[in-house]
Amino acid sequence: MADVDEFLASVLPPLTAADTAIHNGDAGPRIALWSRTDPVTLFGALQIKSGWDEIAPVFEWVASRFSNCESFEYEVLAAGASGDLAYIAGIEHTTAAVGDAPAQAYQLRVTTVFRREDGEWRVVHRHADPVPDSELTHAQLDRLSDAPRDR
Amino acid sequence: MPSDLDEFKRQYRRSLEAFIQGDPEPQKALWSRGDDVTLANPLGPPAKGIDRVFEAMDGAAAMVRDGTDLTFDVVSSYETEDLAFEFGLQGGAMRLGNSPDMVRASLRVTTIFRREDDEWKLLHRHADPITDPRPIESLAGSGSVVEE
Repeated sequence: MADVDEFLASVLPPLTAADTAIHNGDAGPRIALWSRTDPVTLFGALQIKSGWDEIAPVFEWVASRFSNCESFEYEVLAAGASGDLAYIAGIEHTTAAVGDAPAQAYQLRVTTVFRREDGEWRVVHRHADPVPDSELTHAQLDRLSDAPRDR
Repeated sequence: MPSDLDEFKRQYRRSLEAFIQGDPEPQKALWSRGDDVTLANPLGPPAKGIDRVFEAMDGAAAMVRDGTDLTFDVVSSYETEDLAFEFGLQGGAMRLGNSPDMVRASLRVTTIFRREDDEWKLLHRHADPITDPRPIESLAGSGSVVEE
C-alpha cells in the first residue's frame, strides 16, 4: 500500500479549503482539485453526473447557491492508498447558508476517490448523500430548490 | 490479478442476490476483517469496524425479502495492485419491511475492494437511493424545478 498518511497530509488541506470555498460561493478550488480525464463520476447529494463536461457546471451551480460558510470540518472515517489511486470515506460537517436563509449545519457522508496525475492527487469520483435520519441536512438540501441540485 | 478480481466481483453479485432475499451471510464472508472497513447503507449512519458493519447489514437484511432480478450496471471502475474501485447502479425487485408488495428498488453504489494475502475482500460499500429517475423528489418532497 502507498503511504496513506502522506496521501491524507497532501489532500486534506486543499480538500478542506475547496469545500469551504464552494460554500462561500467560489467553485474554483473544487474545480481545480478534480481530474479532467474521464471516467470521472459524481454521485452527488441530489443527482448523478458522469464526465467532466457534466460535472463542472454542477459545482458552479452549488457555489452560486451557498454563502456564509461559518465552518467546514472533514471527519475522516477511513482512508487508503495503493499505487496511483486512493480514497477517503468520511463525513463532511458544514455550516453554511443557502440563498437568503441563515447559515445552517448539515452533514453529508462522502466517499471520495483520487487518482495521482503527474504527481498531484486529483478527484475522479465523489459519492455524497445525507446522513440518514439527519433532518437538518434534508432541510438544508430542500433549500437548494429551483435548479439542478447537487453537491 | 484481474481474473481474481472478476471472480470476486461475481461472488459479490451473488451475495447481493442473497442479501435482497434477506440473507446477509454470504456477503459477510466477503468482508475484510480490518479495523478500517466502512459501510454507509441507506438506513443509518456510516458504520466503521466489522462488528458495526455486520450489525448494519443485519438490520438492513431484516427489512428486505423475496428479492429477485438483481441487476448491476457498472458506471466506471479502477484497479491497482491492492485496491479496486467500482461505481455503479444496483437494481432489483423485492419486498421491503412489512409490505406485501413487490417493488423495484435502485441504489447507487460505490464499492472498494482490497487485496489481502492474495485474496480480494470488501473494504467499503456506500449505497444510497438517489438514482437518476427520482433524485429530486426523493430528497426534497416539495415542488422543485429541474433545469436540465
